[in-house]
Parts: sequence; C-alpha cells; structure tokens
Amino acid sequence: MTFLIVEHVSKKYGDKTVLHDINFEVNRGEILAVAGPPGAGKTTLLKIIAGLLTPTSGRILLEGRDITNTPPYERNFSMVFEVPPIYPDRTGYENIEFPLRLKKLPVEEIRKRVYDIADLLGIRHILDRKPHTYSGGEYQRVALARALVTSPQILLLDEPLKALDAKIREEMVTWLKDLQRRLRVTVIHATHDPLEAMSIGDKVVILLHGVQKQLSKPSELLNKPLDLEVDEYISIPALNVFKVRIEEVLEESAILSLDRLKIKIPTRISKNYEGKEVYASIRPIDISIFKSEQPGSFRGKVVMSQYMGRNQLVTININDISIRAIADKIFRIERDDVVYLQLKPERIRLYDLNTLKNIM
Amino acid sequence: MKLSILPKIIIACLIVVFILWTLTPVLWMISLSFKPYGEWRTPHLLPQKPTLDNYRMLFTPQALQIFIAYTAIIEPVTGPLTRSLIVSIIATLIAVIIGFFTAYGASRYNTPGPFTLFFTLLTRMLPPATFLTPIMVYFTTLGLFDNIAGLILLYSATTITYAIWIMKGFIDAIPVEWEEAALMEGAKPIEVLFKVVLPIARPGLVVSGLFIFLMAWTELLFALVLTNVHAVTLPVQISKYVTAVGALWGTQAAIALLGSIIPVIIGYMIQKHLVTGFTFGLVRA
Amino acid sequence: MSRVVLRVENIVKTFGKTIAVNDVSFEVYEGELFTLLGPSGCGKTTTLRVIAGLEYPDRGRVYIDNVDVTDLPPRDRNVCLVFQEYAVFPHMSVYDNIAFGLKSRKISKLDIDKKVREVAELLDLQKLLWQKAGKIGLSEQQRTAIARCIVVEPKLLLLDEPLTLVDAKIRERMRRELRKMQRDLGVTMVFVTHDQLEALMLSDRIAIMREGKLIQIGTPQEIYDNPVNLFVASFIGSPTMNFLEGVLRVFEDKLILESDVKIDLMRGVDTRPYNLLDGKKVIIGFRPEDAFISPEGLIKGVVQHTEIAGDRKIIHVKVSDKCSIRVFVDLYALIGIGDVTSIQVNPLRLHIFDKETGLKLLRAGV
Repeated sequence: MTFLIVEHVSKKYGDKTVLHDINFEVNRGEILAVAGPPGAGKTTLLKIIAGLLTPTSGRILLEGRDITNTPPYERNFSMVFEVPPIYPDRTGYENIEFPLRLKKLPVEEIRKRVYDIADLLGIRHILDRKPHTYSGGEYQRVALARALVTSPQILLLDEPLKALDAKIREEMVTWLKDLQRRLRVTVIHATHDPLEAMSIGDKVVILLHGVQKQLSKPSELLNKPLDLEVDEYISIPALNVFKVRIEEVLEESAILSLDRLKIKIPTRISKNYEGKEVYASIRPIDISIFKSEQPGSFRGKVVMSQYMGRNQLVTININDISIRAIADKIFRIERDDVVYLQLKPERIRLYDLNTLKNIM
Repeated sequence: MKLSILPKIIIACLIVVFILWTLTPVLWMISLSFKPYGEWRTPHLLPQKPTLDNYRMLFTPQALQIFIAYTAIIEPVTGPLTRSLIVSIIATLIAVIIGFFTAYGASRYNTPGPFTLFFTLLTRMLPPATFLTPIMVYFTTLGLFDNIAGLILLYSATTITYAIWIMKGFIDAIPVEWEEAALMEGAKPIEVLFKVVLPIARPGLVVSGLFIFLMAWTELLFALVLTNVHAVTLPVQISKYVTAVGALWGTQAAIALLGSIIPVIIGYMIQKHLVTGFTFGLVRA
Repeated sequence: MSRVVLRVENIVKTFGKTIAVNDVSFEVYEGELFTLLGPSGCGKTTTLRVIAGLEYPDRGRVYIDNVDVTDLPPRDRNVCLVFQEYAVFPHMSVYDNIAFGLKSRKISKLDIDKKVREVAELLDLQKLLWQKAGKIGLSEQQRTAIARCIVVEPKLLLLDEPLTLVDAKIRERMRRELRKMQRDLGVTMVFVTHDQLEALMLSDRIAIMREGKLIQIGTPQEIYDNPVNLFVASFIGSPTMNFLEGVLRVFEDKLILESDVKIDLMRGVDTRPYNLLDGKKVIIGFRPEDAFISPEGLIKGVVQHTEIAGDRKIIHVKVSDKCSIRVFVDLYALIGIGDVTSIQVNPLRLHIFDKETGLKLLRAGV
C-alpha cells in the first residue's frame, strides 16, 4: 500500500490561493523532494502534511487512513524547520531528549535512544555542550537527532540546508542520503535549490506559485520538463530560450528556423505546428563553442567568461540576445572575441507559445 | 579611533558624581534611623549616639507619645507590613498570570476589530489622580473601601498593562516554529504553553513581576484615599509619621528603611531567574 | 602593470581570546575583483571590516592608494561597503536611496540629479527610480545598494557575502550580472564569500583564508589546478577532490600507494621526479573529472552507486575498505551498481600532499 497520499490538497487564505490541487504519493522508505522558489508554497504544503495547518480542501491519507484532521501531536511525524527548535539554554542531550520526555518514557529508555541516535549521527561527543558552541553542521545534526529520536513515520525537512556554507551543504546532501538509506525512514525534503532536490530526491515535485507543475524522477525531469516554467526553474546555469518557427513537421523530426539558419531536430510533434512559432529551449551545456565557423552555427560576440573549475560559463551576445554556453576550460576566451555556437539538435526542447507546455 | 586618557578621566568623574547623587539620600536615611531624638535635626552624617530606639518604637506606637501627643499611628509596624506584603504579592501574581496568557494571545493571534492591544495602555495615559473620585465611589458602593481585597483588585488591574507589554516582547522573540515543532513532537497545545513558552519567557515573568511588585509596594495615592483603619498599607503608615504638629524623622527613617529592604531582598533572591543565557539566532561557527 | 589600490599589511585582530585575523597581507590592483574566500569564521568578514574602517586592527596597516588610512574613520577612506542584507532604506524611493550619500556632501541639487540618473542607467534601475526600495525585488535591491555606493565614486567597493541570503536561481543570475557590471564599470571590488564556486566565477584573484590565516592567493585557475595544501584542495572544486592515504613507493617505471591495499597510480611514466618521495606518508589527490574508466585502468574497484550530475554521471567506486573514489562518466555509460571497473588517473593531474603537514609536495603536471 502506498504510504502517504496527498489528495487534491488546496489551501486558500481569503481570496488568495496558496496551494492549488496538489496530488502525489510517497512510498515507504522513499525520499520525496519538493522544489520551488521562495513563496511557492513548500512550507505551507509541509505544514499541512504535518498537521499544523488544515487544507481548505483535499485529504491526507496515511496507509489508507484519512488523517487530514488528526492533530499534529498524534501523527508521529517529525519536522525540522529552517530555524530548528534547539533551546539555547539546554545542552544537546537535553534538547534531543525533549520529545521523549513529553511522552514520559522511563529515563533509561530515553538515555538509550538518545545515545543511539547520537552515535548514528556522529554527535555523541557534543551532547554535553550548549548549542551556542556548535558549528552550523553540528547544529543541524542535533536538530535532526531530535526529530529522529521518536522514530517518526515520516520526516519532514523544510529547507534544512539553507543556512549552511556551500561546501558543508554538499557534504550534508551525501550524508543525509546515506542516513536515510540506513534508517529507511520516509523523507519529504523541501528546498528552493532545484539541484539539491534532484540530487537528494528519489522523486521530485516541482511547485511553482502554489501549483504542482511536475512530479518525476530526477532524470525524467531533466529530459522531459512538462512546461517551460519547469525547464527554466530546474536549469542552473540559466536556460537559453528563444522563439523559433517550425518550418516543416516530418515523421521523426521537425525543421526549425532561427535567424537565417535551419536546424533539424529528432522529435515527434503534431502537424498543427507547421508554420507556427514556438519557444525553443536549450541548456548551456548543450551548446558547443567554436573559434571558426561551423556548418549550422550562429555567430556571436563574447561578453564574458566565468571560470567554474571544471569548465567555464561563457555569456555570448547574438543580435542583442544573451546566450549562455559551457566551454572546456582549456579554451582561451576573451571579451569581444567572435565565436560560433552550435546547438545540439537532440537537446532542444519545444514549447507551445501560449500554453508553455512541452509539445514533444 | 582610540580614546585618549583625558575623556576617560572625565567620564570616571561624572560617574562618581552620579553615584554620590543617587546614594546620598539613602545613606542619610540609614543614618537617620539610628539617630536618637535629639539628633534628628542635626546636619552630621553619622549619629554620635547611635540607638535602636527608633526601631523599637515601630512596634510600640504608644511610645511615640513622648514626642507628640496625638498621632494617627495606632498600630505597630507588623500590621501594615504584612498587609503590604499580601497586597503586593497577590496583585503581582494576578497581574503576571493573567498578563502572561494575554501576552501569549496578543503575540500569536491577530485580533479582529478595533480592540487592539493599544487599549490596554489607555489606563496609563491620564494622571492617576483623575481616577480617584470614580474609584472611590465604586469601592464604597461595592464595599471595597478600607478593604485589602479592593487594593489588590485595583493594583492588579492597573499594572497588568506592564505585564502584558513586557511579556509580549519576550514571547515575540520565541520563533513560532519552536511551538510548531513541539506540537509535532507530541505536545498538546497546553503543554506547549507550559513546557516550551513558559520556560523560555521566564525572564519576562520575573522582570514584570518584580516591576509590578515594586509599583504595588510603593503605591501611596490610592492607598491613602481608599484605606482608613483596616487596610492600611506600609506607604500609608510611613506617611503618618509626618503629623500636623511635627515630623518624627528618626522613626520614619526606620520604617522607611524596613520598607525599602524587603524588595531588595526579594530581588536578590530571584536574580538568577533573570539570567538565562538568551542567545537566539542560528550559530555559524 | 596595474596600479595597487589597496594594500593590507600584517593585519592582526583579536576579539577577547580569539584571533580572528592572524597576520594577513595582500594587495588589490585597480579594476580587479578580489575575493576573500573561506569557511564561516575564517576571518574574511573581519578583514573586510578592517579595510572599511569599522574595526580597528590590533596590529598592521591599511593603505588605500598608498595613503595610510588605518587611523581614519570609514567616511574619510573613500570606500563603500555593501552589507549582507543590502541595507537599503525600505521606505525611501530608489532615487532617494542612491542620492543619500551625495546629500551630505556639498553638491548642488542639479548635480546630484545628474549623477543619480547616470548611475541608475548603468545599473538598469532607471525604470524603478521612484519605487519604494522595500517593494522591489532582491536583485534590484542589491543593485540599489551598489548604486548608492558607486555614485559617491569610491576607490574601493567592498561587498560582504551579498549573495548568501539569496535563493539558488536568483543567485546564479546575480553572479553573472555582478561580474558584468564590475567589468563594465571598472570598479575595484573586494568580495567576501564562503561559496567556492562563486569565488571561481567572479574573481580575478582569490585569497583563501582559514582560521584567521591567509593560505593561498592566486587566480581561480591557479588555485583550482595547484592548491598549495590539503585544505585548499578539498575546499575548492565541486564535487570534492578524491583523497587516498598511504605510503608512496616509487619504482623505476611505476608509482604505487600502499594503503590497506596496493593501489597502482602510474605505469610507464618517468618516475624520477618522484624519487625523493619514496617511502613518505602521503595523501594523494585527484579530481573526479581527472579520472576516467578505461580498460587499461590501474585502479580497480566495485561501483557502489551512481548519481546524475547535470550532463554527466558520477560513480562511486570502492577500491578497498579505506579507499573510495568518485569518477565522472558519460551520462549514457552502461555502468551500474556492483560492476567491477578499472579507473585511470591523468598523471598530470595527480596531487601529492604530505600526510603530516598537508602541504603540497609536488606540483601536479611535473
């Protein structure tokens, strides 16, 4: 049986709709990532699942049981907020044991559970200290320990890595996945960073201004974004988008015209699009840069190049449109250089001009 | 920019002057309480023949008759002292407890309509004396005149404002997420209030409690008007030592000193509750 | 040769018992974007504040345009600091925000107007001039804060982690816009961040700090390709560099690392440059992109798991109980969990660090 089902959940505040018909299922032991820019409704969604808010309509089902109206203290879920509840005047141990003391468990049982979770998270050595002595990573781990010590059915994480240094964030993603694998706890992880969502989630929900735009595995998300907004959201570095005209629609391909060039891309789209204008998108990594003219390449002028370690991000100006491409780092690229860009045809995606939906 | 020596000396001098300015009346009062009758009006700081008579006479008001034939002091100091304690402590408890719940509500919930928290400040916007006559009339009608219950009621009602405002500030500083997390961790809403909010807001309770206690303890105007014989509090009793025909300085200093020490003792005993290491905000090492 | 705009000499700053900045010296050239990079608490923000004049150093001097400004208050130094939260006045319009610094100087209203409009044009704020600064987007707020600084024509623009509080998508865009603006205007900037990718993308030169000390200064390429010690090597680069610990054994034509197993690092290469390192306790480092799957690969292991990273995949290979490495492979490579594979490391990209000190023993590419 599917572990958690979120069914037609909507949330309105007066006239304002914050969440609009959210539907997804989470299997036991899975990590579901919820990704969306700030204000998209991730926290509201998580709070509804937690029971801290009631949905205006819709249901939450746990193993088939309707728990929409069960109060949060009866659900046995745990939630780690952006500002975790770590009381500054108590030690790490006292903070972690708090939920167990609420349940009035015997002292020996509490001690065993706290130590077990502390060992698992590698924080046994800091239990005696007060929170203001902790580093950012330690702080988050204590917050996690507190959430996990009750062996919750579902762990809800609301942007838990936001306040951490970039390097530590990287380590924590790996660490979290590892921890989740060992504990086999079901996790719902909300973040504003699409890359974080795609590295951590078994499945990803894209939430944009309260609307669930897509629910897929990370690889599917990258290969087939359902609409242009999703494509733009998940692409870091930023997506290149421009209007093209579909000259001809063939059985296994379509011919687009951009500027004065024609590109043939392998795809099956409806014949109705022949002669129409659509949006085409392509990621920087799928554009190749050459110093000399190539068949089917566009000419442009380099605005700047930014070193990224493994490669470089080049911003090019073509007819006053800004295009971004990734080049190998060996390439010497300077401002105002003339370069030729070739788009990988199989990596171009097309979207309807009006509905913005993927037409491929 | 470094501070050179001269400004530091000037600042030190100013601080010394300020300390002297504040402490001198207190020092005078202490020495006056140990001076015998003859020395009450002398300008010496230290009594030449220190005596405990003033203190003894607090307990035997009849002894005052050797100085002044008729006084309004009809009972030993134990009466007003206990009554002041009872009135102040109970009024403080009422104000702080009700104030805490109100502050929590004001902090966490938005009240609709025109009845904002602002209204609680209205009682403090006019000079208290304007309320004397109406309160006097209410109290006599209700039988609360010359009754410590009346004083308790009045003091808690007028000081609850401070309790609410002080504690709201402390409660506002607690992130709402902490309460939500406690709900997730299995605490029922009432448990959240007492196990999460209360311990963290405790300094707020202590601060407002002390503040209100002091206000009740030293309140003179309404006590003078609303008490007669049965509900006389300490400030009223102290005022009686300045009679129509003369002032009993030494004994007054003695009773005043007694009245001043009690709040100091109470404050000292609870001071550790004021310090809880309030460090909110995420720590990034 | 560019002019030196900022020189920081032997700065020491302590707070109580903590040494926040420990003997830091560097120079910043005109028109450069110079970044102070390091983990939280390394002293980079304190150093920036010393340059700005908000902190007075216990020792050391600060020179701006060869003038010793150490004893001068911030407003006399001709520098401007953009704070992490931008500190724009929310209830004032963008125009008033930008004009703010100019109003206290004795400039005519006409001149102020002219300058404000010029700078607004430069930063693409012309359309927002009369909006309340509190109501515009974050990127626009940052540009307003920067405009407020630029309009007083400071010698130096200092930015304290301006992109830290911004979400990932906007941060990516602002990284490009900020760099473009800096290059277009030619403003000399000192930038503080903990994000190594940000430092690589924005800077002309980077100074890495750790626990108050300056560890390495160089261009992004220098720091990436030639980290001076273990800390820099692990801090720079995402995903993090692979590290293998053991004793190095140098033979005539091969290099072997003795860990809990014997790992072949190179074969058929001239190993004379490594002779001095024979028998040393070392830590070998190489980046995931400098290793690849190859049938002739010398390092053998079992694939533990795979993850997608943009246009490629990363496979985690377990070589032994103590050695695990990550390698980039093609997105469509037919490799899965449990497969036995052999990895080849580019010998030109192998870094060798001393185990005790963490220092680089041999420059890669030798």
